[in-house]
Amino acid sequence: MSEEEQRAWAEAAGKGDERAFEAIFNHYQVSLFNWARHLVGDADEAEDVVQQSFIKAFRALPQMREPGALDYWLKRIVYTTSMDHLRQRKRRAETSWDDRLGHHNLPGRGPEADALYQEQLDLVQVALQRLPERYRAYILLREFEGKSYDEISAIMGDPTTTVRVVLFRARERLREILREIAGEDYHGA
Amino acid sequence: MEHEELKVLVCAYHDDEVTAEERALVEAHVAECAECAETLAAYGRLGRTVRRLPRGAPSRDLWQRVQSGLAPRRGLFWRRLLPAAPVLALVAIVVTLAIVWGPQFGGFAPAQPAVQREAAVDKSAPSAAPEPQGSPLGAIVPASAGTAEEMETYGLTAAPPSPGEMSSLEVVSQTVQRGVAQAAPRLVGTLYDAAGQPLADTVLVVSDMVGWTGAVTTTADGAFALDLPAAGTYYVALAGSAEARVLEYNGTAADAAVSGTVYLTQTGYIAPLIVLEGNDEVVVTLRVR
Repeated sequence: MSEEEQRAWAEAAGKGDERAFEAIFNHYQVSLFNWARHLVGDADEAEDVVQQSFIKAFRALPQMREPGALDYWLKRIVYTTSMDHLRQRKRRAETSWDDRLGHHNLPGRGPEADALYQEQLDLVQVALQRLPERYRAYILLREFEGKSYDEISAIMGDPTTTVRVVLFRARERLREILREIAGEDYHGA
Repeated sequence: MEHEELKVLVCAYHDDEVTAEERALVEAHVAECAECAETLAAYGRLGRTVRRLPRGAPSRDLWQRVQSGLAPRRGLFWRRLLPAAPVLALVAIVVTLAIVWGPQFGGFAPAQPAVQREAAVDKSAPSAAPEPQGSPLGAIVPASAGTAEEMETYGLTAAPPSPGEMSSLEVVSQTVQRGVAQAAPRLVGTLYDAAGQPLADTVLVVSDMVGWTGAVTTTADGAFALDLPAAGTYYVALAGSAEARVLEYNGTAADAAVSGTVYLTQTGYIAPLIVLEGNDEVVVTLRVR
């Protein structure tokens, strides 16, 4: 969706046009769902986050400052909603992510290539959930979403110089975590 | 350049977010530094793995869930009217009694005679504004202005009125002819200016609570008549040159040329409230403040 289209949809929805809001929902729901899914580490919870995010967005659209930046604005709302969700989860002392992935015997998996591939994917998912939330968001925006530094800056509200440093620290921390949980068996970090 | 700074540059190089000068610097460094060469390779492997993380689509009912999440707000107005329900019920009873018994005791007359009575008042005192006659269904005046949350929710940009402030339209008198033989509820009446003179060629905007909006232009003697879609509660606003927003109760908003006197508050719009129970005909006398 072009910037002009984003502006047109956002302005119409901001004036209460529910069809415009539904069009925005249909266009962004999948990417926002996947963004939330890896931020909170759970598909069901991600749906709740996306639901809450769209409700917040609908209510805040009339006050939106840059309708042409709808994409970044929605991603930002999902990010903040995800962070709220994670804080609530911590308070509820829910089961940890390692428990949720209890079927994974993290170190020392089978020798088969497919198993190794799946194992590395699982390990990275677990490691991502152990990263500080902000670092996780940066890694996902850059590697999962393919966002440029300028786009990450717009979404996270940080200067591009900060984006560069935070991404470096996030990657280094992710490698450390992978080494901690997988030892020498992991070949990705 | 410190090695730590070079490491940051290596990371940016992996993302292709470096200047030409930085690129040359990194490539020269990596050619000599085994640690940074391995780091660069590790970033590549990590990136490829993260890109393969599962992707999917949310449940098909997510849109319905979003809509249901918004629904309570849509019902906010009705919930806030609930405390006033006994008063409204009492008012309805008074109106019904007035219509049934009124003519016998000099009270409210049926619709058409009421208009004639208003006209007689005007003839006797043409320069004076019609005085309020204790209309049983007069304007609902909210206790306070809209909250910041409501302003945000409904995109209200105009400044809310002070608590207790009334609409620029005032209901001077109102009578209801219940269940008269006609196809649809009907609103008829006369509009006067603040000096008591009939207001001609003036557009009134009438809205219900679910998105219907109608408009009617007054005739030379300030009269108007408008068929309404169904029984319900309607608001009347004065249209004018000033661009304002008519807010609808389902959370959407429709732009219309209104004098800016329609505001959302804790109890509803500051505007005349008219309740129709069936195919009634409501006769109102309105006055611009």
